[in-house]
Amino acid sequence: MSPLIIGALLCAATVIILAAGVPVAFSLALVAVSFLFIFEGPESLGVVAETMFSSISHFTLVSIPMFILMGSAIASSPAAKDLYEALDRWLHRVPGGLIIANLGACSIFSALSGSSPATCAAIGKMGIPEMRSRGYPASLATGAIAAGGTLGILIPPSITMIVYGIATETSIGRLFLAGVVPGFMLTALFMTWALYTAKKNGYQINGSNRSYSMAEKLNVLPRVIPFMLVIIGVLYVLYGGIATPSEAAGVGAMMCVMLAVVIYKIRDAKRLWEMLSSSMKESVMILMIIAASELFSFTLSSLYITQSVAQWIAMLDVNPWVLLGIINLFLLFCGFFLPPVAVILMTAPILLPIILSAGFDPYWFAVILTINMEIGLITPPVGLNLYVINGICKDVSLPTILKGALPFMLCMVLAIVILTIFPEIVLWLPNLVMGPEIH
Amino acid sequence: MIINSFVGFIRMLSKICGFISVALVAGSVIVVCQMVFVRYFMGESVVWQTDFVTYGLASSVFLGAPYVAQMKGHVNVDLLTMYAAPKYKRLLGYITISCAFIFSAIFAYTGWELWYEAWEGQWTTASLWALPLWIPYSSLAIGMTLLALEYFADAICAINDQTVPFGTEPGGHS
Amino acid sequence: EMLKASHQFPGGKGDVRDEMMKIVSNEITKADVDLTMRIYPGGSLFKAKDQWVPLTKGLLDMTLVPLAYAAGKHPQFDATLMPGLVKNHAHAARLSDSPFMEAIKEEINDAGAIVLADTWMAGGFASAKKCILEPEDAEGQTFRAAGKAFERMLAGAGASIASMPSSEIYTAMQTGVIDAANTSSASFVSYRLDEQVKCLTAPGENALWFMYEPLLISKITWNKLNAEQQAALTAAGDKAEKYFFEEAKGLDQKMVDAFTKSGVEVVTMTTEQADKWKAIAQNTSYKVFAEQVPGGKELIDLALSVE
Ligand code: NA
Ligand code: NA
Repeated sequence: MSPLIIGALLCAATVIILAAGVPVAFSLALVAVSFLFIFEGPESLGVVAETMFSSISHFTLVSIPMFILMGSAIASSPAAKDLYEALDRWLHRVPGGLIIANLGACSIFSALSGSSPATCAAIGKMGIPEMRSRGYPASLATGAIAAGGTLGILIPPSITMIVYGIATETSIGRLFLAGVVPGFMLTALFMTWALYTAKKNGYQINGSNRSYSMAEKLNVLPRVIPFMLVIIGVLYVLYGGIATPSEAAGVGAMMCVMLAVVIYKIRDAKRLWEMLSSSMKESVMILMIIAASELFSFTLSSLYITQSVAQWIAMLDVNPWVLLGIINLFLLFCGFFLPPVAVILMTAPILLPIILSAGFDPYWFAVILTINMEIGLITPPVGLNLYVINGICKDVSLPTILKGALPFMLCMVLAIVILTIFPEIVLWLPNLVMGPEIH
Repeated sequence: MIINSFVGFIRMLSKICGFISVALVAGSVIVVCQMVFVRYFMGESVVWQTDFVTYGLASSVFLGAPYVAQMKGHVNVDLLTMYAAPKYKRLLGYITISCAFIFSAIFAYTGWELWYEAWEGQWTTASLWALPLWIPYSSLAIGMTLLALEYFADAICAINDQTVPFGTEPGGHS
Repeated sequence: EMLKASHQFPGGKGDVRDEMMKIVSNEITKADVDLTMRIYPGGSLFKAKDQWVPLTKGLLDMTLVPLAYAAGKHPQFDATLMPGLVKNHAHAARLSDSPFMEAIKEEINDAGAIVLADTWMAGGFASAKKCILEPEDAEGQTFRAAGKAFERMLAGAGASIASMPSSEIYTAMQTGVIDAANTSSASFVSYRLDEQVKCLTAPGENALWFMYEPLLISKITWNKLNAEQQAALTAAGDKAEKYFFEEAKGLDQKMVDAFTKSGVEVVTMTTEQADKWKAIAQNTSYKVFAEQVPGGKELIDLALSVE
């Protein structure tokens, strides 16, 4: 049977089993194992346990549980309330002020973490309940954080950029720099949408229409200091050469727990247990999905499905812009089913040579690829960020999150279009800092 | 009666594993900080910390999985299950429980196989610490076995009408 | 019959190990013995360190992998990433046909794999602080080393050892978490460490760092093939090995060129400097290996006896 037919069957099986309501992690692993069993024989199951275990025994994944704990510690202490009270007092005149603040927070956390689900979990845990309690609809609140969290892999540091850099022998430093301006541009696009929809629908205030005096605005500031200290602390640990991004996440988690225990005096065993066990539940849920999607990717790779399509694209004889369009659609489709790193590993070695021979820049392509992967993080059936949000807010259904996230996906598509027309936006900063690249 | 105490026993074992999982996460946070501290401030070598955190967190995932299943914490796509009529909900519930059971049974089996290979072959991690791999692999074997039992218990509860799959009606786990 | 081959190195970028795989693939196709190969580069099937077990179980047919990655399962393999056992590429070629490698290959065979081609990758040291020539130079530097034996030797010289996945080396070097790193010439180039370091210690004639990366085929797969197919594979392996030895020196030169172009100081060790390091290795890496690994002492002695 041709890899393409097997691929179509595999996609269909995944959609059906997921729709039946089987937990995402088990669905993916079960589909993966069944296809291995049918197409590669029963003995192929001899590798599944080790593949699954080794996929999550990676030091770079440490940032996920650590960031979740960070969010959980902040959310369970009054720190989050203080922070959002301050934001509310300062931004209450701006339509959608709180959404905009949260999107800003996502881009700050993206500079702290290399992973999108981690970013999403940290901000979502404290931001979503606060936004909803201040009258924002669930779909907008969850959609904004799901999308904002995807910035984690575009704004440096970024796990996917590192994987791309090693797979294609491009400079990781240059890749990081290439992501900076597009990252801010995308943040600005997200904020613009939030402002527009908030103004149109009138979400801006915390119920009452009161305004705050300057004194009230200033009074609340000291209460934000501890939180700011944590952020500055983690930034310092990361950029001051004390720890790697994965380790910095652990230091941040420790700081947040200390903040909750020392400053906000959360000391009774019950509340501490709640904080720890809720973050354990979320990280187990998301890491199980990651482990299963690695196994799923392994099956796709082993059956040569993704590679066959990429090779088919490589053999097309079309003009560069049509080619680029086809590659974008292909990456988008891969993103429906696969996590970013898997897509890069399977497609970059095949796609990059054709991108280069069509006259495109490898660093520019890395950014386009990354934004495609960001879209994939919030599209079903396999969208890690969707599931992170779904795990945090059990009462918000997946279609509701999707509805909120859709306009943000369109912002990303718009970003791809803008960057295709103006590649200088990507290349300006790396060329400025490191000099022009000689191919 | 015996069935109820069997279900209760499984639920309790999952809680114990859940507790170990939380302890591993908390321990990893402490170890990461200790590692950064000794490397940066004391200029000492880091030997066992990376392995501890890497394998500790991976183990916490597999050990925590049954407890998370008990708390209904494994996310699913709720498109059909939300709008389906009650009798179809029950059907979907059985499908879910059996799929989850098959998954965990397969991984429990292959997990024990892997555990045995690591034990028999005296496999260790590649670092200076040389952690015997049967220790972290046992989390996969134990966790997935318990996960299978957890879904087996769910099946018992569903058949006895003690829980309503995907239901909004009252009645949780006994 | 289609064979699945996997490796961890960049695909389609002219990496010598990727090219070796392609040579084997082309040769067996040309031989027309009903045998083809599908190559999965860049760890797109199995991750770097997860290839050994599937290979020995016959679930992966071929791989090209640092043998030391399997040292957690076969501690003897650590001898193939041991400081100071190999001096330069010519020495490596002599070592490949020595009793030392016979012993290693016997172990590989018993484990369930067959060597089709030998490669020895040279490597060096790079530092953002100061050139690493004498053991004293390493003192006080935070190192990310490749291989346990190197970690032991560097710690013995007074360096502090940080362990982290290879994907984090660049960022760690950039922010200053680590001062120095030690890995293969090819990795130095593909990680673009020239952008972050001040000084490179290239392999030269007295390299300390050499790593054995054989092209392996699963014994289970091998036994399923007919004599013609086996002969085609053996011939293809020989051709790939010849190709490697022609390219080997070029690899180090590629690194030196890249680093020089970025304005990095490039140095090499003298025999005396290398001997000082070996004296430390004698009391650290060799000693522990001899004590902890069955037959360890004999292996070290066999390797050291190769002129
Ligand atoms: Na980031
Ligand atoms: Na997706």
